[in-house]
Amino acid sequence: MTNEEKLHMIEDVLELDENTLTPEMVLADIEEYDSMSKLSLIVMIDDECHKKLTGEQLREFVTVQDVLDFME
Amino acid sequence: MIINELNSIAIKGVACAVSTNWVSIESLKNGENDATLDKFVKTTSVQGHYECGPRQTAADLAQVAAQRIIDAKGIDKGEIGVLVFATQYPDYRVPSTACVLQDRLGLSKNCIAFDVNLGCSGYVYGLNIVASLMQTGNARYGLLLAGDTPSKGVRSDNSRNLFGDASAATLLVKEEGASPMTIASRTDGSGYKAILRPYGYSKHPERPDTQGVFDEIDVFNFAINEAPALINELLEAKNLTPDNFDCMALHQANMMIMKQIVRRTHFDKDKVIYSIDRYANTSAASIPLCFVKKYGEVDDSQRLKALVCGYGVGLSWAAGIISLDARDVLPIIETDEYFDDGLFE
Repeated sequence: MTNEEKLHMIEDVLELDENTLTPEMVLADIEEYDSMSKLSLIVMIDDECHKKLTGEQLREFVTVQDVLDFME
Repeated sequence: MIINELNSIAIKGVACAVSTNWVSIESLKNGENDATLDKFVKTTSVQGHYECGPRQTAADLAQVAAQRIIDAKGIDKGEIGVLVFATQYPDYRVPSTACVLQDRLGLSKNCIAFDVNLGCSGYVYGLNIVASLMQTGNARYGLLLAGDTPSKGVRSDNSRNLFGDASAATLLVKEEGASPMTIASRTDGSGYKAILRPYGYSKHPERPDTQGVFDEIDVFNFAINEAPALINELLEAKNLTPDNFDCMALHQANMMIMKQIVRRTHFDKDKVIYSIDRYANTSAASIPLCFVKKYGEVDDSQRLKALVCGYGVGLSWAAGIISLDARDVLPIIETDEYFDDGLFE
């Protein structure tokens, strides 16, 4: 999976238009990154990457890059 | 998993009561919060919830629901030998609200009555407890009451909208040849901090202006992994598949959680029944409310084999295979009735 594909998946979860996210963006500054979209992110990562994202790991994410790294 | 096999115990009545005060999400819009509320409805499917008045409690709703079943089924109250009330909002710290309800309902003293402090898993745990006590004892009838009034707690806007007040009553009858009931249960106390109301009791007697903790992420991860795993193990142990069931009623936590459980247990979406849209998350009453919403107006006999699953605070979860007839499910009751105990006047 390329970084671009992963970015599109995160954009999809956050219901953002394609190419609106960049890796260096701070999650806390993204209005759409709210409690419900965090739950969607957990499901997407489970489905697409077969990885379990815990609350602790999710709380440590600062930037979009951190999410991309986890999706490796 | 712990499995209980309950034989010769039939579910013969289900009734639910709510207040007359329905708060729609639409009515809470003020121009500034419209988008937030629209997203809330989209992700949770909650259109509104019921809130009790200041003096009306979960026990009041439970009493009305129980009385409705007693009247509708024409049973002898004197033969109700088990009364369990699953609630996190008892009327008093002591005694058990079930003891007071034994008297308020006019039941015989030949009755086991106590409360069970469980929330979202309380209904399935309660079925197990009442049926087990009946199977090993001489009671002809048992009543499971299950209900909560989350509106009585201090809450954020989001949790105010996600939770609703309701109570349910379920009548169990000793009956030779009844379809067996099977219940699988688990507990994981290591997750107790995920849903925690620590104040006002022995450990933390202080009462700050906050209710406690609800860790949405941890609860979500717990629910979408543990609930389907238990259901799948139970079905495998009983050599059953989703095709063997007429319906599935899950604890109505929120739509995202339920969708994941349905997907991971491979139940047909058309078999899943809901109450969250009108009643929100009603804790221990949410599963019986699904039956009432779907079958409450059905008069004809319609045998139902149902898969039920409650999961939440504890952390505690249980899944059950139960049978009931749609005509034994009574229509929803709206009431403003409350019990005046005459204290402190």
